[in-house]
Amino acid sequence: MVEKVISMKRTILTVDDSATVRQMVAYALKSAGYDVVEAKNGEDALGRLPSPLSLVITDLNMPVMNGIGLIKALRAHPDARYVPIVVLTTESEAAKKQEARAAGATAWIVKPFRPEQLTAVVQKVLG
Amino acid sequence: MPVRTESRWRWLRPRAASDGGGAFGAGETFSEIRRELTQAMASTEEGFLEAGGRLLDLRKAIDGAADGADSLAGLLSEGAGSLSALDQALLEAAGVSAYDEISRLVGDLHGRAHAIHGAIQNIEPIVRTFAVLAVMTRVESARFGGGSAAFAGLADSVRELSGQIAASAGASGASAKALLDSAAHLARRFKRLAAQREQSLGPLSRATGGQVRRRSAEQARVSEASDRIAARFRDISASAGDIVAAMQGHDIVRQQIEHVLEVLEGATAAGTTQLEAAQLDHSRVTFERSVTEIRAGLEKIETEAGQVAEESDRLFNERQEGPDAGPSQLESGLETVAAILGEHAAADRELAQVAQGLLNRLSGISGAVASVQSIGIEMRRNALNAAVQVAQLGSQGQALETIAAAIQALAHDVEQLSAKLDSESAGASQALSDLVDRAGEQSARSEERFERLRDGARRAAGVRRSAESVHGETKAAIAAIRADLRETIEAFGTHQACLAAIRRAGDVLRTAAAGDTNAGRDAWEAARSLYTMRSERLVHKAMAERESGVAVEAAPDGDNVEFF
Repeated sequence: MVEKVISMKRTILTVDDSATVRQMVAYALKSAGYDVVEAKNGEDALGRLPSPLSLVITDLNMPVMNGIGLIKALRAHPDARYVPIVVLTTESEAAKKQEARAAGATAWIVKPFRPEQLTAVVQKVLG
Repeated sequence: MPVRTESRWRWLRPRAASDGGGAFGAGETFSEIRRELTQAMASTEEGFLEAGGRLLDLRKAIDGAADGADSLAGLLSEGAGSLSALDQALLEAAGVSAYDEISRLVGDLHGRAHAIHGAIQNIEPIVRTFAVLAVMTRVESARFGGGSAAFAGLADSVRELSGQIAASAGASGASAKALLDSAAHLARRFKRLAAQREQSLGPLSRATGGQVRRRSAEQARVSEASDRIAARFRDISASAGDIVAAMQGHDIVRQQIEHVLEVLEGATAAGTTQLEAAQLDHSRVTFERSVTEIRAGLEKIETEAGQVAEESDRLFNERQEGPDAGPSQLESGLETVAAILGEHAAADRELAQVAQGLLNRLSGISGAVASVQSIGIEMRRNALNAAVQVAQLGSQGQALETIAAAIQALAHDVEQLSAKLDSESAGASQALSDLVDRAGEQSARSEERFERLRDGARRAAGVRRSAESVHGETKAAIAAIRADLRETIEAFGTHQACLAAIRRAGDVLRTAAAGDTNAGRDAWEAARSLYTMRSERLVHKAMAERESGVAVEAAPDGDNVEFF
């Protein structure tokens, strides 16, 4: 059973060019009690930054601005510099992980995810 | 040197043309393959999104049904407490111990009233004898001329005092008769009530108590079952996680296809057409598996929801069909017991009031008895005084002496009778006081049980109604969930076109592979850098090893979840 986090509403920005994945991420996180803002690529995400922002979950391969570009932009953004960033991607190569880590990512999840797996990572990252 | 895209796709056309048909038939190019695959993925995403949206709604509905089952379990568990209190109230209602004492008091009162009435009736012949003795005293005193004044006074005194006794006894006699009648009436009425308790209230309370215990056991069973049903709903809800994972298959396949297209479009991957075909085959299998898993997941939820609905229905039907377990039977039994208790409370209250009235009447008798007793004492004193004077007359006063002795003896009898009356009155008074208290207490207890039973009956009916309502809502929710699921499963069928498009693209590539003569180590290595997913790398490794006949080292892989 998915544990519900209801102590306080936290807002998570999920970025993916796949509407299905965004929908599933929102499904998992909303079921666990989080507020979710969706964006379809890195550029879209930068235009929709919620305030306060608790966490960003981003894909890597996206048009317009990919995940690595978004991570770098967020790390340079005054309102998102210290916000944890979880990469949620189909990629699993160590080299790719290293690239994301160097850009400032906090954690890495390979698709497909199960809702309880995603919420466990989110809870751990949010402390 | 890398081969340009144009030259790479030049051989694809003639090969496809020679096949003479199909979506990628004569004259069709890479751009057509790309367009069809892109369109297929876009159109299937709509189906996935719709199914995903429904999954969200379903999850909410299933969680709602689980909450409903939880609430039903809580409601019934809470109801068990009320039923236990009801059972206790019915046990008390069936009990007769409190009435045993009242019955004893009523019997005692009746006996004492009888004794009082009898004793007062015994005074009448004494009073008549006193009258005779008064006449005899007057006659005898006339023989002593001037010395007869004292005896004449005795005669007057006897006549007057016996008149007073007659007056007191007459008034008390009427009261004693009324007391006796009332006590007899009370005894008869109480006997009737006791019989009613024994014949109707007792068995009815015991039978209703049995129903309450059965209802309680049933509610406990349904409550436990509802807990299980809630847990099953939560399991069903959690199993939606499998569908969430399968839903992402669309995104994975889309990216795999994009990678294949990217490799085909690139200028560096000529000679790897077999690999691209294999990657597309893998994508098709992945996609098909995702679709199958989604459908299977939805069907599983539909089946399980149906099973839960059946189990829930069976529970309620068993409960309603069980012997003596009908809601109306139990609740009407409770209402009947409560009504009888209400009548008994009124009867007990009336009994207390009647006993209080008799107590007042008895105090009148007690006053008269005290008066008779003091008259008896005075009469005996006068007779004693007369006896002393008669003794001074010697043998002449023999007759008067006999009369004075008779007066003394009768006065003594009056004293004894009045003492007995006093004792019986005190006993009757005590019995009446106790009766007032016991009947009052019993009335209060009956009223309290009456209220408890009425309240319990209302609560039992409330729990039953709420349980039926929650069950009805849950049943309707499950039916809606199942209908939604069936619709979703039916609607989720747009994938066939997509699968066909991927298969056709793979076939074209395999056909073209025969003409792809530019294979080389550099081309395979370049393709590898674009196939970055784990499954793609595995396909690449297998194909590369087949192509070269030597083992190929795969790029290092990390964990699925990693914290930096």
